[in-house]
Amino acid sequence: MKKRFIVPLGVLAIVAVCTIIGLGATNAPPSDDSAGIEPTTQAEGVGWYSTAQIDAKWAEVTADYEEELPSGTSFPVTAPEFFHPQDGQDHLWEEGLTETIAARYWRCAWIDEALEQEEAGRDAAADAALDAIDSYAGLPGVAGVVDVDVYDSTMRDAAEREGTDAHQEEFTLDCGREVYLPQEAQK
Amino acid sequence: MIDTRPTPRTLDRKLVLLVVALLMAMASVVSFATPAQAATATLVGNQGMNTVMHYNTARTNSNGQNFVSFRATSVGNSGGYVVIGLRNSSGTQFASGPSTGFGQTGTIRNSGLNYVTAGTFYINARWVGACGGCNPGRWEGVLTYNVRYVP
Repeated sequence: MKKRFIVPLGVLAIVAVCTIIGLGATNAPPSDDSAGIEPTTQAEGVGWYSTAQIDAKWAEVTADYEEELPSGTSFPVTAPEFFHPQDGQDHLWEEGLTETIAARYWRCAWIDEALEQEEAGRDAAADAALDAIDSYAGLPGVAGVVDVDVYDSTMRDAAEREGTDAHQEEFTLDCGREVYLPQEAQK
Repeated sequence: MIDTRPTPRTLDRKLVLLVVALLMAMASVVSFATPAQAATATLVGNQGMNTVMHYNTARTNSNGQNFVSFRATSVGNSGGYVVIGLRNSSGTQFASGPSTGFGQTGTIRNSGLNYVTAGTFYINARWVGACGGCNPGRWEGVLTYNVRYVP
């Protein structure tokens, strides 16, 4: 091999090795520590959590949540009443439902914030709260699960029918006492 | 003097343009006037009696009053029935259906109403009335929702 090729080839080899190492680190499977809480039941290839597990699962999902809640608001420590029916029956919760309800709580908190700011005449703060809601589509339990465009259109139609604002209508229809409690939110 | 009267050829061209314009207008009216789409979801359960399974997909009824139904397409060999419930974030089990056996269709309604109100709901299912020793059992069915209710 000619000497003038040795240095460039060496550089290329080093770059290739670093790239492979980098890719390996990026695609490495999560460690056992991040595996989290496993569903208690498997049915039809899907995991189901028991009610006894659900508070721990809720805590896991809401810890270090990827998007911030409005200032001064936080997720409840235990799963909302939605996950604690008082009917004496055994309940199983499909994998992913905890994430969907956490995202719903997050969205309701921002709508609540926007409506509050609007009522107080703080339009800029209300607009900022509505802008924050744009991140909803990317949240766990929503991305790839909920068609947010269709959902938003549904709420606009409902608002038009009732002669109200889309977010006000959504707050009435889809933010309720079992998932989001404005008066009891951790403000 | 120039004759500005339409010739048969210019008339043909105008007619074609008119028809095209009319078709485009009709197409736009149809696309904007399309009512909310009825939706279906295939549900599968594999559960014991007295266990309520809560499904993870949030679904939305967009009409003010909606017709929602569930058709059981399989209940295994146990003779069991499926009971579908709808929960929203504003109240406990705001709508439910009757016990639905193989091949039967049950209508799901809000308590005290003949329809299901607008909004997002989460499905839950119970499996009841199966023979002893058949526990747990597998069932399948199709839920139809977001259909405008007609009294």
